[in-house]
Amino acid sequence: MSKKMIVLKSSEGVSFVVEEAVARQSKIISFLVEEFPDRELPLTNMTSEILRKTIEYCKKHVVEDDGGGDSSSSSSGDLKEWDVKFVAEIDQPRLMDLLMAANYLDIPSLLDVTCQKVADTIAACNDEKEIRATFNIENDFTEEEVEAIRMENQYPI
Amino acid sequence: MMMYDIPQDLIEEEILSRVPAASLKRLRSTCKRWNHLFKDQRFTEKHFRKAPKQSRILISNDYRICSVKVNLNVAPPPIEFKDFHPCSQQVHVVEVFHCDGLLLWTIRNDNKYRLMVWNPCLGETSFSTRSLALGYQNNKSFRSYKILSCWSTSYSLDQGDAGFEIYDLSSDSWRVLEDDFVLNCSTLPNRGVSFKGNAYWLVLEKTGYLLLGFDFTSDSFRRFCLPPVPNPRNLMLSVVREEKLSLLNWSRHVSYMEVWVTHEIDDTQPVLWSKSFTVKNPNNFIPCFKSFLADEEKKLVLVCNSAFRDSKKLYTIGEDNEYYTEITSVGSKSKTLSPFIFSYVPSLQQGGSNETNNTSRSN
Repeated sequence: MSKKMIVLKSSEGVSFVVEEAVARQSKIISFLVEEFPDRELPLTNMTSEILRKTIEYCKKHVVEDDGGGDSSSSSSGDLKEWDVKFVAEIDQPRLMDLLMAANYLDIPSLLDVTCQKVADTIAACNDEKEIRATFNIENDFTEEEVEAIRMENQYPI
Repeated sequence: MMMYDIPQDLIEEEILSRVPAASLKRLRSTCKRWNHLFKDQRFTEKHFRKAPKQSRILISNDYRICSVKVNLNVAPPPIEFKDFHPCSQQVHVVEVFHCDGLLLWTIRNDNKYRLMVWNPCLGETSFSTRSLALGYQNNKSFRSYKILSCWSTSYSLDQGDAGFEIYDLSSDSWRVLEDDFVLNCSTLPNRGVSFKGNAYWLVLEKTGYLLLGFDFTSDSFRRFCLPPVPNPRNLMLSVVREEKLSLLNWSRHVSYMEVWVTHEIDDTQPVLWSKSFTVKNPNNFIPCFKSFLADEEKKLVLVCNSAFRDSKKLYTIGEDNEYYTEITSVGSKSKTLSPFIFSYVPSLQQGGSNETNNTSRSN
């Protein structure tokens, strides 16, 4: 039984041929496939690198209907472990891009794991300076304001 | 101040709502927008549902609250006490109760009693009167927190006049509890626990020991059964990870202690208690347990012991081992108040609405 394939095109114009079931994990692609069958889908705000990563994630998470014993039908424990490794191997800027891609393509589970990874990174920061540096956030407080918050915040939890 | 190009609502809704409360608190001074989130009820509700619940151990001892750091992976487990307190030395914490990250303290200052609802991640609310318990009514979109308070003309509840009042934190108002439930016990113990929004105590009524509950949704008391143990007098009540109500059953006459748990307390059915695990009964000291915490995974219990003329100790007891650490005291020493250990999960929950958060009342 041959599987239906669709073509996704990155911002650089690189085409990726993907099984429809894999791509349909994105609610947006799922909608587009129904609206425009047999058309190449241009994803103009996604680089090839991020699109490749997104497809890699979707391939791993596709649920096989035919139960053909494919390696992609992993147990949920294995999948979780794979997810942790998947996001751990990505550097900060690319993780942000991937998070944006998951949000844009509407892939809830990928959005979940990327957001969780960012949340964990924030939680691991020791102070506000580290977090501003890590995430490129501008400090819009005056020194007095920072001091006031520090006073309110002086009790360790 | 953008975090790369990620839309602000995505940062708040999907990322910051997953950061544990204690870490977020530390990062309040990152930027104005993040700091403002602490006052945004929509965000705090979302955060409460999504963020991982990281519990920590607190202990009330000698009118102070300390945080307790225990490393159960090492034997004997190193234990470290740290002061956890916004109050000065003159202020004494007499009672403590907690629910959803909100701490309800009865504090004594210059012989006046004051009630304080404090969320260490946010700020405080305070008013006066003696308190009993804190809980919530589960509305569709938010939890409305309430305090149950008891007054009586005599020490004993079944003599003289006694009654209960409910303080609603969201409307900042008191009302008398109109419930014809008759408590057949002489006194309600100070140290109840909060479980899924309701409060529970172990009480001795004329018919025997039982679990007394106060339902903060229907504003009424309920009676529940205890597990079949030979001597319920020795039972102690605690909560495991906010998910289970637990009891420690110990006796001088047997060589082990049992931890009983229940997942759910339902008005319509008898409570289903199951035995979770047993630990050894320490035999080289006089057990005078007042409070405990159970770790089901490691099959360990932490118990506070304050036997007469002995120093207060925190025991870590497993299936076949026991260790203890002396509970260090700050300030005045009291033999009457025994240490009370409990597991606390920080949150961003606000006790009342923003308008009433800083209200003070005095008698």
